Amino acid sequence: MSDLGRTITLFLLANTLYQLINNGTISLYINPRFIPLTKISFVLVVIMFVLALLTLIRKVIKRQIKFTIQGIPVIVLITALSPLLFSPQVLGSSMIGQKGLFTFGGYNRIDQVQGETQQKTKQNSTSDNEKKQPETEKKKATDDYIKLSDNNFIVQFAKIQRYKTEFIGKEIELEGFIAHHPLMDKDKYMIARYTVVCCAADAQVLGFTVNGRAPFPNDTWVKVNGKIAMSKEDVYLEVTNINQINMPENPYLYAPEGLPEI
Amino acid sequence: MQWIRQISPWSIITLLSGSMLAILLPKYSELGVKFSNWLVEHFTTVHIIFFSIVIEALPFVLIGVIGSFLLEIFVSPELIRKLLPKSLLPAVVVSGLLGVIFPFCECGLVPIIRKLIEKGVPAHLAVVMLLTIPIVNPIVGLATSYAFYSQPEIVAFRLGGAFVIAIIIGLVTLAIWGKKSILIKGKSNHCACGCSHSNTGLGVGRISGAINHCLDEFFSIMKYLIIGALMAAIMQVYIPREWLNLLGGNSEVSVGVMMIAAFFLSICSGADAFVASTFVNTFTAGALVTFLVYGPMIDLKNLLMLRAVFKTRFVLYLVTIVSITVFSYGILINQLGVIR
Repeated sequence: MSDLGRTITLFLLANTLYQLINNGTISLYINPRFIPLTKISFVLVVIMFVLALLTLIRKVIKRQIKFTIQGIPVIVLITALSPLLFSPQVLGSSMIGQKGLFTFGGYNRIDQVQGETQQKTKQNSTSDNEKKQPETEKKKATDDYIKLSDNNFIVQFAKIQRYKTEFIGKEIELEGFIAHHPLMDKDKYMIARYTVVCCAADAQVLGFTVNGRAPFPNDTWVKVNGKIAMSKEDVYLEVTNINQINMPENPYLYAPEGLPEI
Repeated sequence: MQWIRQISPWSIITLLSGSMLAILLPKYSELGVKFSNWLVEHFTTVHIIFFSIVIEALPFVLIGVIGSFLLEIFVSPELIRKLLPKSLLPAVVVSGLLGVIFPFCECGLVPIIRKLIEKGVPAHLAVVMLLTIPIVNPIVGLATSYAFYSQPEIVAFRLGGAFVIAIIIGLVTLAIWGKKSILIKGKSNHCACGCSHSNTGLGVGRISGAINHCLDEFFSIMKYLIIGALMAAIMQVYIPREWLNLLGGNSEVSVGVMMIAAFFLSICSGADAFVASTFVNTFTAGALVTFLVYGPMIDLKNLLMLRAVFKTRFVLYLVTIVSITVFSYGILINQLGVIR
């Protein structure tokens, strides 16, 4: 393998990691909780680069090196450069159908694309949960006005999905982007957010269904005020006010460490 | 009518073509813009998913490679042989747990196993080491726990399952092969990175050789990781989720599909969990565990190394028994529903 090629590749890989960590775009790829691991990667790649450089210098001194393009690790080189060549984008509404709807460990699962059988199982388990824990439910939904922020979005969303009936009629405020799930009726849309556990590859969608035509195109970020309502199928949002906003600096929600009590 | 005769057929064709272009070009250019937008959007989506898998797996690949480099310098096959107890069962169990203190990657493992057999380690113990060291080790455990953050039980089923499967296969190997030789005579030490290993001495030459091997191994593992991550990203973006649900939702089919994927993707055991975790909501838990257990034991890259060192009959036996056992394990997990 080309000593020069692998030395350059390691240098570029270290540079890319440094850039991603330094300008914060690393959080578009991974949960910020794992950034220390990327910092370890950076240090280890630098060590590898120094080893490669020393090997290269030793071969140059011994005149054992041939400067050819053969053996350059092209595939690693392109990968190392790719985040700098193509500015990282945020996952948008086009992936809504491909990504699973929110599932959260032992919490109530609402993956609508898993098929009818699973739907029935989930509905049964939901009703079982509701039957088993009526006392807990009452304790959970005490606030009449729920404001979803980046910090509480996942837990509040899980609560609403789990203790559905207790949240009916409560006012809610949230931010998200407009999306249409392919399996949804055309006269419905979603106010959605992506949640990331480890990295963008495992991103899942959290979304409130809204009845009616979307007032803005897909991927438009909006601030919504409304009321939680319940149809035969599931919880949905009755929108009272919707305004376009800029995409937040960090558009993803990051799963908290461990499973919080809900 | 004279002027009509003066018009050549070519000018009519040119005029008609021009008119058609004038009418259709805006439509086509609109389509062109839409197509390029679609391409850019999908490409960037593939890139986000692809690069996030690579960057998440990278620290574990690097720790594995550097750890392997240190072991290459400081641990000799003689030392490993001395650690093995004399009686059968303790020896099998210790062989299955050697990865905890010697987390060699699967690339550098085959030549070491060959050395161990040459130095008198029985074939059945060598098989147990070959199957467990790339899985039952702290680096792989840590990487799997990060990748399956909300499903820690996957770690236990991966490491525990690999340990039990390897011990079963080790005992079956003892019963079938006994003291028969499983090595090809007169072959040099081959490795996935294409180098030869010399595990003797601690001179400058050996350290320099180990550095070279470490660098080659890093690029070799990265190549497989990148291909695997790209395939996983393309599948996430382009293969309709309903199709994946259809394949991944079936207890038996999902296990088979993931075994085939693990074989062809040949991803290093320190990084494969990050690829597997992208299929959490589409494939059964048994299929995911199968992917994580089968890949490090038998994959395309590994098979080439095994073929270079072991007799063909033994390689065929090993591939068959590992495939059957891991497949059964995956189905058992699904049937019992032990993982949420």
